[in-house]
Amino acid sequence: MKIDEIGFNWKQIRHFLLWIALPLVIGFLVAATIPQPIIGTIHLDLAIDSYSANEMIAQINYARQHPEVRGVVLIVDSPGGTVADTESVYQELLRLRQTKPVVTYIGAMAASGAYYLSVGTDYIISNPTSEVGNIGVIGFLPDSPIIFEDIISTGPYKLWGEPRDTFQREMEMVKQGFYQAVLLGRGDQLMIDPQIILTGRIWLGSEAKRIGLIDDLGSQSDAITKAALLARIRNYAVGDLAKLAGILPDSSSFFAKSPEGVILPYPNQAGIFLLYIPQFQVEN
Amino acid sequence: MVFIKRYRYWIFLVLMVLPIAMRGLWFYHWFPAHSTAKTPDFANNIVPAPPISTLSPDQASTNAGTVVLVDTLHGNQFSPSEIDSFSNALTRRGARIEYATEDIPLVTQLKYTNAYVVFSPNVSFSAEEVNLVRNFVANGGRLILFTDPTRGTFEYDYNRDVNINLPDVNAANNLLAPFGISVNNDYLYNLEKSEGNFRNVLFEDFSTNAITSGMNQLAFYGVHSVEAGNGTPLIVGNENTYSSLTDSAGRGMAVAAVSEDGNVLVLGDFSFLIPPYNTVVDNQILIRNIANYALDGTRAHSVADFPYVFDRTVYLVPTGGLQMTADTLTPFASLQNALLATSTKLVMRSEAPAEGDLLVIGSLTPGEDLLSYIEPFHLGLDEPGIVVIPEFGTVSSQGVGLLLYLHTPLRNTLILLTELPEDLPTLIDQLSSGDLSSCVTQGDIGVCSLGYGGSYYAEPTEESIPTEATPTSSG
Repeated sequence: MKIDEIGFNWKQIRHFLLWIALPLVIGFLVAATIPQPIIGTIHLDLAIDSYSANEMIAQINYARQHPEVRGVVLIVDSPGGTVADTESVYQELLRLRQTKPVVTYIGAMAASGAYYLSVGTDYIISNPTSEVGNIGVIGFLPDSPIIFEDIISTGPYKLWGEPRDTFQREMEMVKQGFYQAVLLGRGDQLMIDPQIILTGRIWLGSEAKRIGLIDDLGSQSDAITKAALLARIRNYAVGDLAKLAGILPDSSSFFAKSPEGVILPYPNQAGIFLLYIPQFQVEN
Repeated sequence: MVFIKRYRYWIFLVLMVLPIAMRGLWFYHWFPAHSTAKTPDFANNIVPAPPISTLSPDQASTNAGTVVLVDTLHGNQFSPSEIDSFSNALTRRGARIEYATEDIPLVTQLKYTNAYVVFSPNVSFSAEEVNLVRNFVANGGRLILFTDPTRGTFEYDYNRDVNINLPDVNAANNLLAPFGISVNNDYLYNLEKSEGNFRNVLFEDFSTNAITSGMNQLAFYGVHSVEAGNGTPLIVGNENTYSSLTDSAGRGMAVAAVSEDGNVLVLGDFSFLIPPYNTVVDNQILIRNIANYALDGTRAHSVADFPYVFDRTVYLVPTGGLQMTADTLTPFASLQNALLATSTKLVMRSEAPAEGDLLVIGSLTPGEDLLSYIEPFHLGLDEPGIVVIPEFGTVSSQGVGLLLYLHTPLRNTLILLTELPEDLPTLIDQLSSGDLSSCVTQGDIGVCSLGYGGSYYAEPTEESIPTEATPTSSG
């Protein structure tokens, strides 16, 4: 091999490395920094209380702060919960929606507060027999104010919070907020009289689709696909945001327990709730 | 090489961007869609305020001496403090409120009662009680029955592990059966317009009646619908008032009704009596009107209502020259005590005074001074030993006592007649004991058997008395 030929080859190699390989390497290196998009899932399979709400908000914040999470699917199987916690999650969902699409998938049930959260998302998918709706508020009236010999307070409602009558009227106000959220979330898709919606009825998924409470019937995979479609991504990964955000499972109990240790369908403390309490075991 | 040399910068750029673009396009096919979500206007949602009304002072006419009996014997789901607004309206009108007690039979308490008020009964009335109340109402007594969908009771069924709801309408309808009114096991609601909650229904449709006079709007807080039957529906819902039983609306769904004879008032709620609901819209007027209704009845007393047939001091007037004897003193004293127990004074008089109630005693062979008292009863006393009582029949006067009661606005007169003067103590004893079980009472007339104490059993003659004792086995 001649020196000139070697020199030529070296020059060629140098040119190849400089103008072909180097940009490719740089390109691949930069491309590698482009993360695979993720459709994050948030599971709500408990009642909405301060614990579950904080967990959800942490997951929503994670989704908002991590650009690789391009869309979120809220997987709901819940009877609802406390008003304030529901509202706080709802408002966080609305914030998230401004940057990333959020789709709800309703498993067995999205009742009351759980449906409240659903209407705060871009699209709602449920099973044909999911229980959907129960739009309204439930509360347990505070006791009538009395005084005790050994408990001194500085005002008549220091012990009791508020008059029973006011409590009842506040529930009406909360209901109005809930109904506004439904109107804003569902808009023109609602095909049902407001009075019927406000009866607090629960509809099966297929009926809920017909009257516009949800967008479509489908599976959890359909909801993930829909979220990806809205996020305009493909070849994405699906990630549980609770795991990604490092949230440990919560062991708290929202529901009361009977003396025998049976979990009852009632909250363990008084208050106003966006909650579906399964039918009392009462026969007329 | 020349090509590379000439376009080397472009090549560099393209080759560098290519993997980035390829990876980008592998994952993303366009920019994500963003939505603009609006938040509900939470700040402008307000708590609905109750439409509290202010009323002029209650200037009620007084009905002194009237008694309102409140039932407590049928598992009634209320506490006296809850009905204070109603109780106060009654007492302002001079009424006395008594709570039924097991110590005194209902039959006795209804004798002196003007109105019988029942709140959410949860124990059925016996057939005898229903009959008593029916007679009470037939005599002009007023029955006011309040029901309430929130005042049922629950019974735990251990076999099936369920709570069974026992609504107050079961016992209420049992009592109402004779009057053609019934209460439905439902509650009404209105999602269009309500008083703070869908189950707090506003009513603006009223029948013309004293109970609903002066009203523009009422608010009931959980109310059963009432089937008026032959009676009059007093307060009815509008076309947006729904029954929980059918979830269907219908103009004219009643929540209060009065019976055909006007003596039975049924309401599907009593929460409107409880503060603060008693001051909402025209609820105070309704409470006053119900109190007036309770006391406005024309309660007609019958003989059977003794000793509650008098309203004022009673003057005992003997006729036909009857004189007080050692035999009559004790029965008269018992009579005096019986009347005293009802706060009625018994005063002896030889002649009837111009005012006051009368207790007249006499013989079935009337003297002149008795005739004016028994004249309204048109008794046939012409045939000796026989008394002909109109609409009752012919009665042998031997061993029989007659009770005749006459009520006029000015005075009440009770006449006691026997064939023989010595039978009078027995009749007075029966009367003062309150046990008229040996009397057939028919409105204002009572015909009593005087039994052993009377002349029915003739004195044994000397011949009929055995002169020797009958031997016994013991000798």
